[in-house]
Amino acid sequence: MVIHYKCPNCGDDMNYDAKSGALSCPACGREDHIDSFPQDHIQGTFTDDEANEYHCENCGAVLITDKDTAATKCSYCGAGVVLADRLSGALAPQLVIPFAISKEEAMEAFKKWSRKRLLAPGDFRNGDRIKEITGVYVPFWLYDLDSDVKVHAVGTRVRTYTKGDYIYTETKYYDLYRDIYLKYNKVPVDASIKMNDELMDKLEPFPYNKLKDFQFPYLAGYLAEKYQYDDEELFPRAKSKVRQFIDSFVHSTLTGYTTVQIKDKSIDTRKVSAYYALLPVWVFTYDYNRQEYLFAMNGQTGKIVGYPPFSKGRTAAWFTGIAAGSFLLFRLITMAIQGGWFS
Amino acid sequence: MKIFLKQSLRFIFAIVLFLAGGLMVDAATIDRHIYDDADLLTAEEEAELENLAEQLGFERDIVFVIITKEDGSDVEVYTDDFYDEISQGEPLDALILTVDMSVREYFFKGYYLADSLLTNQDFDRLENTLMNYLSSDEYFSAFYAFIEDAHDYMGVEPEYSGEEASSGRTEEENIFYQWWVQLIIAVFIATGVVGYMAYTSGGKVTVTEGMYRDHSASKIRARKDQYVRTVVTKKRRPKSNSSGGFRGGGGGSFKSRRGSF
Repeated sequence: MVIHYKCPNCGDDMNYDAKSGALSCPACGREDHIDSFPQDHIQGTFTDDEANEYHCENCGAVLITDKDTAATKCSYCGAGVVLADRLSGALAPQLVIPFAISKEEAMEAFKKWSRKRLLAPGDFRNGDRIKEITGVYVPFWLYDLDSDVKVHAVGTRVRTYTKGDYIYTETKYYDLYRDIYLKYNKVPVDASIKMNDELMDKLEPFPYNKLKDFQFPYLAGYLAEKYQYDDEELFPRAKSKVRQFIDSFVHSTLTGYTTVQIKDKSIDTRKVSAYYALLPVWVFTYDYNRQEYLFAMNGQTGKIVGYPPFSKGRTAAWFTGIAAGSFLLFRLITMAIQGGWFS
Repeated sequence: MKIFLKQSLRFIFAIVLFLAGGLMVDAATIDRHIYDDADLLTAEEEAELENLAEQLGFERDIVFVIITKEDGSDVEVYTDDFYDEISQGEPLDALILTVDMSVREYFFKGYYLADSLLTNQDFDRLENTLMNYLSSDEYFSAFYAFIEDAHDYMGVEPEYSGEEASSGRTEEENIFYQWWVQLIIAVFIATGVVGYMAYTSGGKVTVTEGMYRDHSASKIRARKDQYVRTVVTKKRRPKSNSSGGFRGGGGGSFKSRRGSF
């Protein structure tokens, strides 16, 4: 089924507006709250899923999508359409965080960000070669996880003192044991093959107070994908993510010692629940030197990730500048204390 | 700025010396300063030198000792042994000169304050004068000049003794004042900063442990911190560690000179 939102006023295609949080019409400016949008203006027909062929509700053209696309724009008329059967049944998202940053703001923020890439080549830093910017709802699993942690460790407290001609080192040994129950809620793991895991991890945190129950209109005008890994397949990745959290929590309970050596640590992590959520990401493709670079921006917080190209010259210049600067500073301090450049 | 830095360094230096001074054997407890076993001096000369060492030593709070011998044993070992004997294991501010007539060798060494108050240059000048008199067999003059000069050099406040003397006194041996060491450190800093810039140019992970934790549900069910045992190890204290103040790991030994005449 293909869903398409038509303006009740003028009949133009409506899109979800990140600013107002409503469906808005670019032609007449009408805005409709997504809950109160009149049902008879949602156009949709069921199609057979046979050849992955969908027809645009607006112009009738064949929608060209790959098999994971769940929302897109018609490549002929530009109308935002949602492929509802790819987001229904087992594939129905429970939660969504809508975009809060508009396309224009995203462009502006990206340009600002690229100017601050101090090691990138000058003409990259102009930020004017954005080839494409796409708002994508990326499928994520949000895991609620329970963990039982049992740790045995040996801690030492070291004290040194001098008596007569000898320096004494006194080491006190302690047996440490911790039994910890840890509950982590909504740990996100991206369920898309196309998205780079490292980039998606760096995009965190997503503001969970903006989580909404999923509704189709949020997707109007954006790209969306359905998940390509289910929550069982991604559970190991979720486990390894909380493993880092657990390690640092355990460490924070073993304070007050000079050294702590962990002898034995058992971690049992269980999945309590997993929510399927679509999270907003602006994806930039950037042309530089006939090469394509990919950047991603958190659609709520505006945090940008992705590796810009390196300029050898600029890197060398920064290196030389910092080295020369600190050397000069050292010499000045030495001169202030001793007098003379080379003692 | 320059003067301020210098003065604060002097101040710290003075405090270190003051603290070190608290641990020292009182100079007044040493009642003999001249040990003329080789019989180079007349009784009058010996008395006069004893008097001089006593007086000038009292002024500077330093024990001046002059030893002459002719047993041919190593002058350096002999001096250190002698020092250990009179210091009774406690730090003692002393300048000791040993002369052996059988091998015509001399050795002198400054301990603690006597070391700190004299620069390498001072040691060179003391040695020059000493050599001149000893080689012409003028022993009384040699020892008299030695005590008197050492006393005078110690009295020159670093502020008035010029740049070189002051640097020789406190910072000369500190490796961090060497330009090549500073250059290496500067390169390290630049590598670190540029490396960090490169590493974070693609965005940092800003998620912290507490972000996803359910603070009300998570808890430490049991914790135990059981004391087991204490192990004490001891190690001999290096001979000189504190009185130098700014010497910064320069080997922990005192300045000395050795030669033959």
